[in-house]
Amino acid sequence: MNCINFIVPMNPCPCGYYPDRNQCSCSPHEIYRYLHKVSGPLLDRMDLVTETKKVEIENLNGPKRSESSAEILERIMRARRMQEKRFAGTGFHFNADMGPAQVRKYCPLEKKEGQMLQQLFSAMNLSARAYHKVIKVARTIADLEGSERIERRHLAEAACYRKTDGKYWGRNG
Amino acid sequence: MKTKQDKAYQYWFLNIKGFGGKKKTALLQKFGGAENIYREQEKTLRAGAGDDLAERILEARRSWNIFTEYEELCRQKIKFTCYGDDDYPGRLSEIPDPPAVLYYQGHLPGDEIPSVAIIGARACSEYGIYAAKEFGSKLGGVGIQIISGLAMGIDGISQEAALLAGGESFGVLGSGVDVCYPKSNRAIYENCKKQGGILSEYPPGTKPKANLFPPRNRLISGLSDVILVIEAREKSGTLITVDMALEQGKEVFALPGRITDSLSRGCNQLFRQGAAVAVGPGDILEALYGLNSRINIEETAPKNGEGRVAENQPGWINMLSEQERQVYLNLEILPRTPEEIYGQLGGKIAIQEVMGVLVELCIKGLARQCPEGYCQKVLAT
Repeated sequence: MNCINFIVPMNPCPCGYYPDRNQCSCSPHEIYRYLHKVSGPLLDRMDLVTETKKVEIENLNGPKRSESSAEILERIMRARRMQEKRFAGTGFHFNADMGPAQVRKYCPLEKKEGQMLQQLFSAMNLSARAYHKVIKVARTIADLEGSERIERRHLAEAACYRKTDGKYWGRNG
Repeated sequence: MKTKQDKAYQYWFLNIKGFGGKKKTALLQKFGGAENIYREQEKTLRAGAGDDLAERILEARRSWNIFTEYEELCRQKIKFTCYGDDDYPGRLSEIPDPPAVLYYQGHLPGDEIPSVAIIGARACSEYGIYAAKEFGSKLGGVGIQIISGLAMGIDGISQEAALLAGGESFGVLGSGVDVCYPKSNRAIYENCKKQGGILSEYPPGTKPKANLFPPRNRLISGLSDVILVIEAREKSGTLITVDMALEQGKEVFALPGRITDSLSRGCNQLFRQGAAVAVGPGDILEALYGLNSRINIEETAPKNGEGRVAENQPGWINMLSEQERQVYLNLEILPRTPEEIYGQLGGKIAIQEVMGVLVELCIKGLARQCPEGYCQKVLAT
């Protein structure tokens, strides 16, 4: 059962500018050492790993806005209601609470989606732990979209949020 | 042609500590060879070399077992050549300060075969990686000797690419030939020994130290006919090697880069100083062989200037979904972030979908991830 939301920011290197090589003054070794302070197994336990880009000053004050907070809240509440319905009568509340058995029960995948997961599994070198996390995150993405079924695009998006070898950690110059 | 005995005496003499290459070369010429120095009377030695050096030579006679030391060297498959010997690289004889001795494993670069040094930043960008591979493989693949320092970044990548293309590569080290530095390039080190050579003017066992690297750079340029700079920051170590190359009278090529990229600043500056522009391997070939040579290599190069896989490939691009096709066409050799691609598509595809499609393209082997974003996976030509 989840009791806390663990959200942790991290810089990509000691000076913070990597991979912008015009600003980053760190040596490849320094970058490697810095990133590997967080071990692979620890990263693997994170459900979502993503990056934010430097915010341009115009956007800090500007009026540009895509969705209002109210709209986003509505979407989240709709997803919450789907999950309440799904887990009614059980002790679970959120997708995150599911163990492997619940994932099998509540997140069945059609053949195409199952195949895609297999491809993701090998192409991105996912661990068994990551396998279930990807499905759970995909289930939530589908909920946010209001979709009953988990489609390929939900799995693909969920896969984006995993740290892969190509990004940062496995890089060697 | 030196006999085993000659080599053993040379090895002894060259390892006497306390005086440098120039003095050693001078004494070898004066006394007519290392064996003569070994057997010379003390009086004559003192007269010819001065008391100080004579002392060191006498001490070395006592402490060094000529034949076991040399046997050990042979056992480790380490060879060497001395300035003045028949097999000493002709190009090195011409530089202002040739090394008195060059140790090597594998073999020495041939005097008659064209050599190109490919150098650049250790912390290079995706552009540098692409270019190092492109030039290394294409030039190495047509039999040009690729010389570099086995360092992280441009050096190692270009050497590896040359070796993979079946070419020969030579790594000049800032340590002894038996000390692989950096460790992460071990595989390239071992392959150079098989397809080319590992060279050093430092005795076997010498550990890498900061002050040993600048002098070895003169050997990298010294052994080449043309030097190619892939990426370099302003005031970088790479540019120091270029200075040495200019002193030696070698031709310098550089890769142009975006004016906003600090890693291309050094290269772009070189053009003002008269360096030639390298836009493709054909430019280097032309410098080495003449005008007609560029045709052959460009036939095998990517047709499209951006190195994109040609769009008239058999049907596969039509097998992609419309979204995949659109995203794919926005990928390039250099990484782009999902946000950039989303912007290029005019916001027509939601950003989460763009990210999802990028993952699909990665699975299909058409794209790959790197810290700066996503880029086209360049299919092997």
